[in-house]
Amino acid sequence: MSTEGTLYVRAPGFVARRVAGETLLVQTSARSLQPIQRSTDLLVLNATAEQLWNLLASPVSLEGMAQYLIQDFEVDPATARADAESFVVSMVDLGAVSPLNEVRES
Amino acid sequence: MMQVESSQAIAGIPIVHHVAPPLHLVPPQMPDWHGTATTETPIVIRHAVGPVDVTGLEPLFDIEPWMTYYADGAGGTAIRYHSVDAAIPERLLRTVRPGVEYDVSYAFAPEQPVERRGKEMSAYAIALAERRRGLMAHGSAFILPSGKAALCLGVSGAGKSTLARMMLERDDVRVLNDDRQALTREPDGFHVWSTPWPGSAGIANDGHAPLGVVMLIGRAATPVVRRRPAREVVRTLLTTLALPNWNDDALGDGLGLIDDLVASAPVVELAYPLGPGTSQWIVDQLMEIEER
Repeated sequence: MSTEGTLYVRAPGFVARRVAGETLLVQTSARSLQPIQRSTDLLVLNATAEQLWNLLASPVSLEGMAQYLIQDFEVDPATARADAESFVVSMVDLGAVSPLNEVRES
Repeated sequence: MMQVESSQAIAGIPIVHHVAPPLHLVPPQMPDWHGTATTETPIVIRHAVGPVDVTGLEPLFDIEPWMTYYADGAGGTAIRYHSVDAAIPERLLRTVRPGVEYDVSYAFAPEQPVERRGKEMSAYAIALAERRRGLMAHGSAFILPSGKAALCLGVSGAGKSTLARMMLERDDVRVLNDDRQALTREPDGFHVWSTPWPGSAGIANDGHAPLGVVMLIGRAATPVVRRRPAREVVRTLLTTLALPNWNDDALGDGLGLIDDLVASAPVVELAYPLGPGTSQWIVDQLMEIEER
């Protein structure tokens, strides 16, 4: 995907919460008052993903996320860029993160 | 003339129905249910014939064929109950004041009286979460000889009512309800409260108790106690506790309640065949786990 300079931010409708020692990402529409009828899809965020999710509270670029990983997780730039891009792609596919222009348009 | 009908309080919260003629509602027929003392302001549900208009509501999901959930854009929820029988009108439950007041519109006035159970149970579950008091639990429950409650969670078909029937035959436990409980967070910890909404066993007795143990119902050829990883336990809790999915803040608080729950009460899966010694084995296991 074309990502140079693009800013990303969390999309509405997702809640991340630490439960039983793990950080869960739950979609607000994925739960039911009649849970017998539903299966629950939830994501467990690892430490890196949790920090990136926290960063995405404000608009941030892939480069900004990679820089954060380089500093706090002591990984090389190429790995940091790949990890950030992989996370953002999966979150965009899920609908949990959007490019900033799409958020503004929605 | 508007009719006002009150239910007994559930976990201290009464439900007051304002019913506009020509609607006629039938309350749950639970002779063993007398409710609790009232400790909180009531939940008010206003029933009237009116338009079932979902304009401006954001669909969240369908539960085929019964209902569709919506977010109302103001932090509340709405439920459209589909007409699965031509004699029963389509209905729309909307939040007026979160945790306090709800309206139900009926597309037409049915000739037969309408059971109020469905709307009552939905509004209560919504309000309980919106008040941050607790969550509705899909499970049976009984009070152990220790005085603590065992909350036995499971989806439909898991064996909640079968378990409740088994326990009903014992003198040393008191069955609360075979299908729905109010799980509340109190100053001294979690409490389990019976409700007037039973499952297939039809058990809805008065009572409540501090939570002693959470039991997940499993199946096995021989009795076995299974310790399951936290992630699996949480997944089961997410499918059996009625989280407020329409509101990010309320959902976050609901997830926080689950975090507190797994930190403060033992959660264990008991899997067993049905037999003459099963209920004794279950009580023994739960007592041992609870006392640890």
